[in-house]
Amino acid sequence: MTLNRRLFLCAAGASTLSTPALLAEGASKPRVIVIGGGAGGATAARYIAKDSNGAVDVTLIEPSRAYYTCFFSNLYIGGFKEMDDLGHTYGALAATYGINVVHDWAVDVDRDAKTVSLASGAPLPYDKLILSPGIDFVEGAVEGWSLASQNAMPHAYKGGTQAELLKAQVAAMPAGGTFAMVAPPNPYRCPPGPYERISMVAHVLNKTNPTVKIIVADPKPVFSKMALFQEGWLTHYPGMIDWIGEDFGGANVSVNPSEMTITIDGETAQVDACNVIPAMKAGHIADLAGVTVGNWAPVNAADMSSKVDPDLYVLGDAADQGDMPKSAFAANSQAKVCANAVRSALTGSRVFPAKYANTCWSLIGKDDGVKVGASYKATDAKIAKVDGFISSPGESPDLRKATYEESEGWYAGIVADMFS
Amino acid sequence: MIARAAAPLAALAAFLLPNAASASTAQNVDAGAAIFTDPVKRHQISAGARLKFLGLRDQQMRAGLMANLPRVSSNASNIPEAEVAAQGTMPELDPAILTLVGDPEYGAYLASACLTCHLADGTARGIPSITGWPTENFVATMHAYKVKLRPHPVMQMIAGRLNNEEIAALAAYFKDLK
Repeated sequence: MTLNRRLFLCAAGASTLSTPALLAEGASKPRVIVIGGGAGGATAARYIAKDSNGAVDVTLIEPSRAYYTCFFSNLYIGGFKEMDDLGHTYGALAATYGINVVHDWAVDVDRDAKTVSLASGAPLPYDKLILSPGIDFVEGAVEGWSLASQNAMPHAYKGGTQAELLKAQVAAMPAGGTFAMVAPPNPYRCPPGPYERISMVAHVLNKTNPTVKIIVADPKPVFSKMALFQEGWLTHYPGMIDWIGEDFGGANVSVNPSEMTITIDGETAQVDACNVIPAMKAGHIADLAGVTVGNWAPVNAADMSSKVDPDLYVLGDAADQGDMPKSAFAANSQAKVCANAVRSALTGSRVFPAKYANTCWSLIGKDDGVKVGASYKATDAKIAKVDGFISSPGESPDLRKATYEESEGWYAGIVADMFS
Repeated sequence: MIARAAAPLAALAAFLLPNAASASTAQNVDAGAAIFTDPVKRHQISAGARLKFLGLRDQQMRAGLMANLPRVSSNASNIPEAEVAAQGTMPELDPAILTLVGDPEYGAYLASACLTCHLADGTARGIPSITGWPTENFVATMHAYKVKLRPHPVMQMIAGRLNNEEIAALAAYFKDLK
């Protein structure tokens, strides 16, 4: 495809491709393909199918038959959830809403022909395409680490198998051993995630193996909920966690997975378990679709449509949208705005103003939950933060427990909103 | 019984109509609550009365009962108005706000944001149920969050960005969600 032609379509598309024209085009129903069945994609597919009452043909492409949420996987590592609690299937989306759920990999997007190619070979046509592919890792982001070494040094940042592996490695650590984490640079999925993970690893080891030391090499000078986590670490796990930020060489890090060593600012240490969370980028299919600029896919704030193709939308972690963090809550919120816009474009239903929200809960220790959140609006330039809140240090145990219970309620809510 | 119970009944009326304008409303509401908790007062009101409750026809009384029940409940969190009532504060609302007719289609769209946390089937798990509420309770509660009379940072933020029509639309949507 030529860029010029695409840009021309961008400029002309919105005004000339009116809804009645689209509806009159053919006898078949308008077709939406959603790539990725996580918090963005499953929600978008469900809402478009549910609210269009069969007027839109929705296909969801997701390779996993059972989806294990990355959100709450830290609680699994901490022993607060079972892996089974985090697994969800797509049966209701097919049976209740008539979504065509295809368990396959989308391997290419032809935006001129408006088709998606599957690993099994067949091209699928679409009128509107929604990409919600989550994240992949930037190659070479951590010296010495590659996907080939994810067994020795797991990232555990996509849920499921890798989270199970990391948990097993924590359980197998020797007395007096060292657990290391290489934390990612901004922006990345789930800003408090690495630090909740440290909390959960410390929680487990504090009970089973309290002489273990935990080192975090972090390229950032500050991190999400920093005061809350650091207060919690002092309270629950005194002397156990050594966080090395940018000021102390936390960005200057390399690993050797075959030797199980980590080198931070020139000093090499032997480690018994090492969680490497590399720099992230949009899931690879966004690159293949040609909608990324740098690591992420820029979108319009009003409807999550790609800035380079008005018939393609990008949700969740993969999108470069402005102020929202990359979280399941944010992806779910964006999916609803997008679903409203897509359904309107295809069926002429009413368009309502974009309202976005996010809340991220984190667990620091047993019954010690904290949260941060914000609401957002669409501006011409980006999704812009309007208002926000964060838990305070020194809150009462009752409030922290209620916050944790609230996070469990949220989990039940969002998975119902995706899968039920 | 009527003569003997006149004072407690006035208090009970205040309990059921907490928003009725009166200099001694707050005191009377407390006295009304005491009817349920103080064994002597409970005896005064109940002596000679049959254990039969036919409900409250008056909408304001129903709202008042909902608002004040948490004062005398051992598990107030299960009552929709619990936190507001615990503070003894409800926003002063223009009656026009309470009678706004919500746009159900807009309500369905706005409600999708609520359903990230609140379960559509009405179950409460760490987060309260918001389905099947009487419209006025829903509207009053959202306005209580909006003006920060009711304490919860997420709900204050969410309600804070909704206008009167949007709150009415949500109330209309969730009232019928069973």
